[in-house]
Amino acid sequence: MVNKFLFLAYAFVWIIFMVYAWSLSRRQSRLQREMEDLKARTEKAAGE
Amino acid sequence: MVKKFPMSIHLGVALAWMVIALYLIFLYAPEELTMGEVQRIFYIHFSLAMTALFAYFFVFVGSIGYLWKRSRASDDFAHASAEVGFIYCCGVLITGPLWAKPAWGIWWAWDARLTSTFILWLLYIAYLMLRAYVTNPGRTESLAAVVGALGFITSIVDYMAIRWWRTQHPQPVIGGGEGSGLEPRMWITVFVTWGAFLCLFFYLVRVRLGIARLRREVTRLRQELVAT
Repeated sequence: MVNKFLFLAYAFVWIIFMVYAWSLSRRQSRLQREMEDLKARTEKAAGE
Repeated sequence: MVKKFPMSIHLGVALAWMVIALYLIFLYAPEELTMGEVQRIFYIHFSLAMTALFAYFFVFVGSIGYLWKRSRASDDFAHASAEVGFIYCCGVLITGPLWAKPAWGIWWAWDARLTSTFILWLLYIAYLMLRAYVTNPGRTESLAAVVGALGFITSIVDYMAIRWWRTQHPQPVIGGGEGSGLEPRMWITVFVTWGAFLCLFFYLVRVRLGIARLRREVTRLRQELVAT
C-alpha cells in the first residue's frame, strides 16, 4: 500500500498544476473572445 | 528560436519527460533505508524548490532588463516567471510538511531554511499583488523590479541557509561536503525530475507570455475603438 504522505504530496502537486493550467486556459480564451469582439467592433466603426 | 519550438511540441516534451521522471521515481530509484518510500517525496520537493529559486533569478534578470532598457518583453518575462514561480513555491510548501511529518515527527519548524522559504513565498505574493493592484504605468514595473530584486536576495539566503546555519532541514545533497550526496540511481532520478519540472516551467512561462501579449492587444484595440 502506498504511503499516505507520499500519495498526498504527489496528488496536491498535480492538483495545483492542473488548477493553474485551467486558470491560464480560461484567461486565454476570455481574452481571445474579447479581442475578436473588439476587432469586429473596430471594423464596424471604421466602416460607418 | 522560440518560434522554431512550437507550443504543442514543448508541452508534449514536458509531459513525456514528466512520465519518464515518474517512472524513475517510483520504479527505478532505490528505496531509502531509514525513511522508506516516503523519501520519494524528495524528488518532487527538490525539483519544485530549485525551480522556484531559479524563477526568482529569472524575475531578477527580467527586472534588470526592464530597468536598464525599459524593455516591455523583459518586464513580461519577469512577471510570467514570478507567477509560475509562485505556483512552484506553493508546491514546495505543501510537499515539505508532508515529508517532514513522517520524517521528523513535526509538520513545520521555524528554522532558517523553512522560514526563508516562507518569506520567499510571501515575496512572490507581494510581487503579484503589486502587479495586480498598482496600476500606474511605469511605476508598477519599477516597484515590482525592486520587490523582484529583494526576492532574488532572499532566494540566495534560502539556498545557502542550510550551509550557513544549523537547521532542522536536512543538510545539502549538492555541494554539501563530505558525507553528503546520493546513490547514483537517485542522482539520475533527481536530475531527470528537475529537468522535467524546468521544462514544464518554461512551457507555463511561454503560455503566460502569450496571455500578456493578448492583454496588450486587447488594451490597444479598446483604445482604438474609443478614439474612433
